[in-house]
Amino acid sequence: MEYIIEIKDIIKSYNGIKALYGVSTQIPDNCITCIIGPNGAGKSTFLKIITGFEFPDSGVVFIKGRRIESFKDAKEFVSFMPEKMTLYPDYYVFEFLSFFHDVTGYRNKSILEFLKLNKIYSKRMKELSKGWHQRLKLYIALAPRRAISVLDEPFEGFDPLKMMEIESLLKDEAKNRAFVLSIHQLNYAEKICDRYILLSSGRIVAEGTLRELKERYSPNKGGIEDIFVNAIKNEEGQIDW
Amino acid sequence: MQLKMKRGKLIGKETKDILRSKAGFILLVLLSLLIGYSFYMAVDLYSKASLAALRDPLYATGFEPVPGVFVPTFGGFFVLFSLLAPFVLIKLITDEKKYGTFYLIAQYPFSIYRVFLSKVIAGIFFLLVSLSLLLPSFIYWRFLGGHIPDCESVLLLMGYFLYGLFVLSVSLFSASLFEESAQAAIFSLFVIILSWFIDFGKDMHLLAFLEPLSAWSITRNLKFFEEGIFSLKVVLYFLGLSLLFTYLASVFFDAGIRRKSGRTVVSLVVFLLFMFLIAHINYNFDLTESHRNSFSPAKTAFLKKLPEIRIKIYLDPTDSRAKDFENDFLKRLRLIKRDVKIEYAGSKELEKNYGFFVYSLGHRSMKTYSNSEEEIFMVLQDLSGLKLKEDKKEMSFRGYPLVAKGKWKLGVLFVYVVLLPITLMLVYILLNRTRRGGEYV
Repeated sequence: MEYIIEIKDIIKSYNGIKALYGVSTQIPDNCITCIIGPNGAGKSTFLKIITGFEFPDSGVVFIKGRRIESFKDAKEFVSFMPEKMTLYPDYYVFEFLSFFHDVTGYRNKSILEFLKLNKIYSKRMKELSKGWHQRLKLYIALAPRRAISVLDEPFEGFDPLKMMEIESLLKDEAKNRAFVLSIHQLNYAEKICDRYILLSSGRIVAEGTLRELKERYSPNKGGIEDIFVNAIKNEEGQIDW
Repeated sequence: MQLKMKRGKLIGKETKDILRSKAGFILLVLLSLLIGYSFYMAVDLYSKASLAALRDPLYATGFEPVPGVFVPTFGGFFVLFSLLAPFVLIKLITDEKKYGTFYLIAQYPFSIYRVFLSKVIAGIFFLLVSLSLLLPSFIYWRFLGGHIPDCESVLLLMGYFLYGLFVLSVSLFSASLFEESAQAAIFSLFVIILSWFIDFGKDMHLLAFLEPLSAWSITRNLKFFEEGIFSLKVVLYFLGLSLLFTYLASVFFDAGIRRKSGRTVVSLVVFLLFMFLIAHINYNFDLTESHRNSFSPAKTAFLKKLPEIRIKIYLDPTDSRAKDFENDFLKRLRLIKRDVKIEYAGSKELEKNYGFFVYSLGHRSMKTYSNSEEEIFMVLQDLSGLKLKEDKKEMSFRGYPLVAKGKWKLGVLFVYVVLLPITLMLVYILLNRTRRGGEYV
């Protein structure tokens, strides 16, 4: 397996409070890797470090073998869909897309059509439902053909039917790039992810494919939820958030 | 699309965003109303005072359009732009933070600094639009038959442009520093008002320690432009200050940047070094038509022949005599003698000699109680042994008194209360009215 991202001993703290404690992992290419964990586990910090929006206090990140030392280094490889982003509320969708296409030069007709964004061209951003807004954000992250797409909670606001559509889109796109997703709907994660990184209290408590994790944490063949709960139990059998 | 064109699109978006914002529109309309009111009041006063000046040629020489009409008109701009523009300008950055659109930078094909630069350019454009609201006052003044001194007017506009750059840079810095727009706006106002405070604060006895700082107050330095003096030091000071805040804004704007405090300290040290260097620059030029900031040609020629002049003032700097001396004599002397050394006596020396001025040329010194120009020149003649030639008794500057006639008040009202606000509203509607999109791929 070819690894596109390599992370070594990352420590990150905010105002003295540690968000990540010596995190080390490798993320494979052409694969959908999901970062799962409870609130405050350090998922968003982990993603922001990969995208170059945050820098670790210590430790290193390599993408395609190159050490990432600035935001500029990271953005050469990474496109990003943040969880908390409201696209310019007063803009019409077509107006925003026109600007986005002109400025970035990334125009991906097939994804645009797949996401059926033509249906909302004449709407203002503030008139969009959460699901449509989410599709637009997804398009922005997918339109640039970068080596890695980092998506923070991409399935918020989607109903199960739309989820299936998005799932097929991501799987198709994963043939040409690596995906790193932060996701808290574990049932969705099970359908879409090839590989999992389980974060809890700023530490990686488990990682691997579903099969590998099941063998280790859920011999009774439970789902990812069981794996997750078992992985974060401490030696006394208490859940250690 | 070429990278240059892409950058152009980004700048276009930022500029359009600020111009079509409600806050921006309201500020421009308010500016129009207040500038109009200030212009109306200034012309009215100038016109009434001119009635007497038309009968007395000597009195008429004191009538100059820039200090008489345009400086008060610009005063309206100064107050409103200082206090309200930060609320508009910080939106260039705080909106990105509020909506999280800052992260779109990850998809842009240019650096974070290019994105920041596009915001600076949009801010400058907004400043130029705000300043353009002052131009109708010049046109209207000309229409009334008034005279416009070219150099002095351009200098005044330049001064306010530089002041606007300062307000812009402080606003961008505050917006980069704080997450909340309310905090950013309050911090901007704090810095701007502080820059005024050090000027008026030193006039209070309790805050006399602010005296050395007051030379760098924004309001005091802006006066150079209002008085028609081009000072290279002041221009460099405004540019340096704006560059410092803009640089700091760019450092804090970049979320991924490391060693922010280190960069801040280094930039402050560089700025202090810059201030130290420019403090010694004394290239000032009187650009007024009346040469009101200069001595007569004979006195100028006399002063140029003198070696370094040293003046020790035995007055408290806040004493009205000291201020008169500064504003009347020293201000003009500094334009000619760049090497003049001024020293205020310490508190112990003051007790015995309070009220005296000691003039020194080389090893010779003379003491006088008077601060009148004629007395000072007599002292300087005695000290130097040189004779001051008589000035020719002809009056070269006759002044520009003007009595506005007809229904000029209605005209001002029409331009600033009707025409400009309606034009601004039309532009605002046009910018906000976007064609409904059909198919767009």
